[in-house]
Amino acid sequence: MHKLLFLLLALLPAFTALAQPKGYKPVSDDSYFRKNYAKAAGSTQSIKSSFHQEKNLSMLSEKITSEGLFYFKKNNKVRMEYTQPYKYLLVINGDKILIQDQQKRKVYSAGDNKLFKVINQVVVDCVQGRALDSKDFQTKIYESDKSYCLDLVPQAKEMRKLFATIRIFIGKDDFSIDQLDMKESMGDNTVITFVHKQLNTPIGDEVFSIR
Amino acid sequence: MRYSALGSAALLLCLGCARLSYPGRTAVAGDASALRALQPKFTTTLYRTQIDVVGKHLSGLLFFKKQPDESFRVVFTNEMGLNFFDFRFADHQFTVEHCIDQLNKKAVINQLHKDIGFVLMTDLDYAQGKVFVQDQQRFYTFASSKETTTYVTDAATREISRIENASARKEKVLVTLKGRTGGMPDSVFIDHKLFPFTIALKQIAR
Repeated sequence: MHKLLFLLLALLPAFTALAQPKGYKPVSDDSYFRKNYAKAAGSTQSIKSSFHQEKNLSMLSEKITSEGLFYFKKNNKVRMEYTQPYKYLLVINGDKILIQDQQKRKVYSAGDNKLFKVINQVVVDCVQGRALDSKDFQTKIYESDKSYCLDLVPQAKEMRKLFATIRIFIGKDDFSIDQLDMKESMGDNTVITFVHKQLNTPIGDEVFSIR
Repeated sequence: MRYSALGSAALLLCLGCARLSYPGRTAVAGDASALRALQPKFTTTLYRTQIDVVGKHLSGLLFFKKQPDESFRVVFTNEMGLNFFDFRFADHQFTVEHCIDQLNKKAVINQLHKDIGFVLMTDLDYAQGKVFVQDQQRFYTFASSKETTTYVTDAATREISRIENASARKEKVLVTLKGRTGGMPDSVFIDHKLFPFTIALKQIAR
């Protein structure tokens, strides 16, 4: 029994190391990060960026890639415009969601559809920096030389069914989001990397129009 | 007049109940196992996918991968990368590896198993198949106690162009396949005739 306990204790650091992102360590100055992250999120009125998305099918050792344009505007306005491998549009404006593919254009109320409600919440909370203080996530903060990583474990049952963890990678230079890594409960993950970011450039409300 | 209307109604009713027949198709001696040669041959294939079912529209990516053990994995994700389902098809075997709650209903799973299975041809009992011909088209027919599934090969290309699934009296599912790239059809359209449910697949270059 003692041997088993000793073995478990010996393995504990290894499991802890596995749980944290590779190349990252627990943040040394938690309050410094929180203060600057909140300040940056508060002053970010808009984000315009290209993005590259990589879906990793872990059991099949395969990747599906796509790319497009990302727009964010305070409050609660997000537009993800996929251009590759085909055109697809997702617009979140408040509690309304527009989905447009090459065949159909449909508007949903986030409250009407649990799946969209979860996706809406994840995207908006992550971009606006609200995820850090949300009761819907258990949060740990890590850092490397160049960036921070928020490790979010969903607490709500509906969200836990979809995601095991969500990691937000934040640049140390401007405290804006560089990458979003959503790991599903079955082991697959989707990594969205934001490139060519433009913060606080004017974006018209028509970009987020839902009609 | 009243009798005439009743007669018409009765005739329509009889026609509706009539057994499906294909008088133009002539049975020929032949081995349905020849169809094995037309089974999909690919390593991986990706399709843009649109599903319309009873007024609901779902879109995403359907990814096919042939495994080293000859089984197939079929994964459906939405555009943002969220997995809707992950199925495994092997010779007369089907496994649900993953399925989100919203789709995890017996009737839905059974129908998706059948529909994707038509294309992958994993559930066919080749020894029981019969062969018919009409206008240089070949019809490979597989009958069970409840329904018949027929693979129709195109006269010009000799590839499978259509899959018909029917009960004794009604056409149930029509699958139309066009083109062929990398051992799989360029496009697949699955049309359920008894209720509004269609699946449209368009192959994407990777």
